[in-house]
Amino acid sequence: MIGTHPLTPAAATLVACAAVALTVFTVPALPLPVAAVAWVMLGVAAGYSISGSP
Amino acid sequence: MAGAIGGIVSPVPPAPRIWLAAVTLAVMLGFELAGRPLNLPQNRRLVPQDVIRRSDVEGPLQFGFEMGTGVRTFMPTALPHALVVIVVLLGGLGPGILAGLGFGFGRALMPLARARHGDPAGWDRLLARQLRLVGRLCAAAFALTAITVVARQSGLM
Repeated sequence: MIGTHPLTPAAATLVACAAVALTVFTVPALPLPVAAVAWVMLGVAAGYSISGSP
Repeated sequence: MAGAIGGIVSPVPPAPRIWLAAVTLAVMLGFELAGRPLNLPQNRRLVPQDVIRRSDVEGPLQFGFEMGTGVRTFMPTALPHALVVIVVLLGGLGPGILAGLGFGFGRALMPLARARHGDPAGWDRLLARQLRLVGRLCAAAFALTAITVVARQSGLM
């Protein structure tokens, strides 16, 4: 069973954004097309940013 | 859809498109990072809950589509607009599909994080206070990624 986490929304966002940045900047070292990953990550950042809306 | 529209601008040479994207995104993201998102057109309405009850399948599907794609919602940041700009000017159909998949994943991530929080009601209160910071952090991640895309398109990476 997955437990709960104590992160605040801002802290959770920081973790998510760090993951985005880490993925984008380390991906050239991985056997993945950097452009494809970058496009997905752009979408993730945009989608996440409006998900706190009422 | 933005990816398909990108096909219309494809006859324009890459250099002007890269410059237009870079300048437009710099302005938009500058305002985001300053905590003052540009007031761009959006459908400032919520999807009514009774949409879900209209039918067993179509209702929930319509609710999920409208909410998930941001067709009918409140947008506290202009990052979806920035996403359309970069997909139209520098992307195309493939990048548009990838960005759309990422957008949907990003939309799902926040409710998932809320659901796994020990105090979801407390999360809502904190989010109301931290919404601007959340927007700035997302803008920073978007900017870093957009720089990567623009640098790659212009042959710098």
